[in-house]
Amino acid sequence: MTFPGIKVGIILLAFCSALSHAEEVVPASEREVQVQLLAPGYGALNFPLPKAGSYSLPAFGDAADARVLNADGEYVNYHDIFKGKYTLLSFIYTRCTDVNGCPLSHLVFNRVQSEGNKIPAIADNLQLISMSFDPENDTPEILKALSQEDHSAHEGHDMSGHEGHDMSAMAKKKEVALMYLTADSVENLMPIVDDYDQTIQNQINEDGTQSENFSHILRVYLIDPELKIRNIYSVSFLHPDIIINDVKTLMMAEGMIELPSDIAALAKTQAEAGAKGVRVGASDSKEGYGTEGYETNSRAIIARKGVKADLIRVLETAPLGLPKVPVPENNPVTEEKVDLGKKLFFDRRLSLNDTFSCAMCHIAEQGYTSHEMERAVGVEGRENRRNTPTLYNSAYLSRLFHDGREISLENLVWDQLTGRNEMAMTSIGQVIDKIRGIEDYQGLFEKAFDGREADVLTIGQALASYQRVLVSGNSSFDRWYYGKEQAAISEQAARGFELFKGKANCIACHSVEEDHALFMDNKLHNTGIGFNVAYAKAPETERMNIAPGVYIDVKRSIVDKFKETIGDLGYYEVTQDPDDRWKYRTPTLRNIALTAPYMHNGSIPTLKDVVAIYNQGGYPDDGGIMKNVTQSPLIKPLNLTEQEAEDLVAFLKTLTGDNIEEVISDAFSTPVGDTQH
Amino acid sequence: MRTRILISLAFVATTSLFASYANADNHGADIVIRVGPGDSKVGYDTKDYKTDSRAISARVGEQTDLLKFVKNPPLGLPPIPQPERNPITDEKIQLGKKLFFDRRLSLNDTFSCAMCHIPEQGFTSHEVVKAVGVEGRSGRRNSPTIYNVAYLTRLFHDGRESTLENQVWSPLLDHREMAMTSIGHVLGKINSLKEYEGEFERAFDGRPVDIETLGQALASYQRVLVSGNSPFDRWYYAKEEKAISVQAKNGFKLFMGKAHCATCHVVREDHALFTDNAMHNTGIGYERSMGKEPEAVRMPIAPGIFAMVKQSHLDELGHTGPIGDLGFYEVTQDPDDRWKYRTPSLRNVALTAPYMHDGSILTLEGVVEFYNKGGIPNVTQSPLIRPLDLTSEEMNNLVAFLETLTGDNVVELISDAYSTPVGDTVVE
Repeated sequence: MTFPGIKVGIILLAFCSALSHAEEVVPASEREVQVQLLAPGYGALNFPLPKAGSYSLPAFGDAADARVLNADGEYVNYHDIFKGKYTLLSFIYTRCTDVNGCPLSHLVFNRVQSEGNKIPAIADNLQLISMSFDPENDTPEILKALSQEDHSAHEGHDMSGHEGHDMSAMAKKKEVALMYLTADSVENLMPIVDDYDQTIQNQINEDGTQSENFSHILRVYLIDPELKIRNIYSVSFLHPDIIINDVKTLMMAEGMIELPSDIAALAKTQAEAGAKGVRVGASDSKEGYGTEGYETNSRAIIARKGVKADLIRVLETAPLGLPKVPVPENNPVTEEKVDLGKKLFFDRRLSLNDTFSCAMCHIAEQGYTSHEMERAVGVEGRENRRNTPTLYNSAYLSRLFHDGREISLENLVWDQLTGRNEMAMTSIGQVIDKIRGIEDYQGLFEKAFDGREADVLTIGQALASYQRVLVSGNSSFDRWYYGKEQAAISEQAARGFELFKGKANCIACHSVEEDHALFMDNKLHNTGIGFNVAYAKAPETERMNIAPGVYIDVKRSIVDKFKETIGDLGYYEVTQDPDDRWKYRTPTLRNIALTAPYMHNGSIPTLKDVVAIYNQGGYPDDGGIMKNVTQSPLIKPLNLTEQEAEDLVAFLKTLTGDNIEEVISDAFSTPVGDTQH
Repeated sequence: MRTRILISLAFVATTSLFASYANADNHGADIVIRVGPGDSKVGYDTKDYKTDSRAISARVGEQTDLLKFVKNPPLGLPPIPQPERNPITDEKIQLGKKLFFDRRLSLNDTFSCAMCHIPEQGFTSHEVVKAVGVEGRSGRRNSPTIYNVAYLTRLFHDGRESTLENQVWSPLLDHREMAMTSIGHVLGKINSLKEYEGEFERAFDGRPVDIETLGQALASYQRVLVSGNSPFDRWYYAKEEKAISVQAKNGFKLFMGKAHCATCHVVREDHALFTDNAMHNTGIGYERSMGKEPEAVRMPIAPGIFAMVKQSHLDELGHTGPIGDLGFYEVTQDPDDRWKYRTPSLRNVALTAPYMHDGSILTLEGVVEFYNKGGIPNVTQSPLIRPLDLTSEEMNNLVAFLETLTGDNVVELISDAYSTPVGDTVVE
């Protein structure tokens, strides 16, 4: 042993294997280590992992190639080594003494190896690669010695760690491979270090000379056989249980390891159920979240599957209760445009930081709106002033947005794409150039638009075409009222409809015609909600549900810091006419049971509460001297009894279209555009 | 009718540049074009200041054939690039010009494009460091000139837009600029104005105003606002020895050599755009983000009367959006692009004060001094920006050279702009 580095390597190794035998033991030999907080990788995991196979690990980029040296001093390429294998890639240097740096990586690798060896698919297909970023010291000779030491230490560990196993069977099995690589020079190392975002700096001694130690932030990569990066582990998450779980999950997706029976059963039900299997509503219904005994009913991402539907057929025959779908002369709907628009709609890359698609506020299974927040939240958590409106039946709207500021679906799309608090693209041109630069859009616009590429016109036309066919009718109400099916709705709902057009006079704005019902008048009205927000005194504290059954009262001044403070004057902002203050567009009531929370600002959580506001006559004043002078004269106290209010709600619940599951399933069948593509 | 064009010398710096126009033809009605603000404000810092403001009625001009610049680009400039989808026609130029000067294209009918891009102020705005839009809302950056935008491949100071056609929607819809609330709002408004009846259909082969044609019309006007054939061009490209002074020639030598200006402000064999269409960090943005702000600023509030105003008060005024400014980073989200801004052309630079993306340097002398000291060093600063060791005489030479870059059609373009009626709610 003539290389000083090898000794260090062996010390390091001995230290690691000592630890791996006694999980909770702090190494007594490393005094300075004791004061340092040990990374979770040294101990047992202190939180339960999700079941392997119950989640997915989307690729977030390609693993870069590099030409490096192996322990035999031969030149090899990353891609040749990675291809066809699952790889963990760690960057280390053998002289490393930072307990939460390279020794941690080494220890975790050893444990992953011994755990992985128990699972044949992992033993056969997983490799653990330690890449040195200290080529001057970590020469192939040193790596060779290290891997030999490694091997014998591991053998010993494996023997003692798995008493009771059938050793002859173990011997026949393949092992998770351990491999050491290095660069041939610092110069050739640098691009690799850059490609894998390794922050590495030489430490400086107190006397100003360069130390042999490096400052290094551990980042370990999980790479799949297709050379895609599937996870990156920082110190806090570099734990053998997590890694094994992730590797299992990746292999389950490829059928290399069997899915756990419950997850497999779920997936099977989904596949068999097809369109009918989708869950309508948030992925976790949060029913009973207000109580301590709450248990999540959240479903695995794998269950979010669907089948493509023939959306365009609503153009030929509108669903019962709805008129013919209006289509602009210069943008006839075609299947190519709908498919392209749908692809764009679900593409997260259409946002400034590649994270946010249209579908993330207009969530298909949540009524193409968002149940879980009152007001929309865009990229980087930027808050908006208003509730996400549903896209169902937007084809029939002649004014768009709550304040009616836009008139066509085609032009509307630029508002979200370039809205700073929404998708935050910085210009129309940036959107166009980005789409033109994405490989999976090559030729699609030309195909849908007669040779015309993605531009200011065609992008709007494609997105509008998808939204235009999200038509939903033939509800229980429609079958009862237009289809004359007596039993389609309950007697209570029928009584509710009588109130709707009579005593409660809802129909004055939420129109119902002879042969169809849009349940809106395409006009703007002041109900008092906006006025009330502007003038009513907000309570001193706001009660917040921070965990199941746990509430805290948060001071108004603190709540306000997180809220968009800009006021909201509704249609006035468009017309600048004071008479238009706090006027908002009448929303359709179709699918209203699916689009909570309600009103332009999402301030009312249930239909019952909405009816109560109208029953009280909106907000004609602020309780003091300030009058809401622009409130619609149609909004006045209704004197509905409790029973009548319930009847109204029962009626509103009959307005859900019959194609909801089909449309959701169609949405689920669309791949989510992401940087991995 | 031939026009006699007199020049009022609003800028001391521009005196020599416009002397030649004063000797224009002597027939017909007088049209007096002043280059510079309505009130030059020379001597405003003294109590005996008297305004030289002119009556609005003096703001008259004569329409010119802008299409001729397409047929024959001015000396020193390449042919005007035309997008395949939007060939330039006279109808589109006239329609775009009408839109450009129409105040009704703003939310409250008060604000046109031309109110930040003021023709007689170099199609920019001398009197505000950073643009101010409807209702006095402050923008973050200086109004860039419209001259020679046809040649830009990146638009806005942060380069976020790639075509003039799409670019127009940004100022029309920005809350701090013209503040229209949506694309449909703009289109609906134009549709309701009877002066535009049939105009789009005429210019666009039967097509009405829409998201595309509106941009195409406005782009067509801006695209022909090219300005070259400057004294520099006549000297450098046409070999007129006397077109510029010896001092300016020395300045050009420095520009190409010791001062390295031409690395980014590019001059080619047969033409000079004086820009590389690329993004660089000079340090101005870094200083604004990271540097210490003065606690108070001395401001003239009336002739000869100054007040110290706290910076914190100034920060509160008129801001309705994000105040920080990270330049190209905001577009790419790449930290290496922090504080990078597009290289502006230097053509007509004598007419486009104040300077830099935030209008923070008031004079060309100030700009040259800034570069001479190597800008403000910071981690993403362009390695091209470094101390230049120019003597004060050399700096003067550079400024003299920069003043030779004013095009020969400046007055003609202003006069053409004046001939366009300002779209207003009172216009019948």
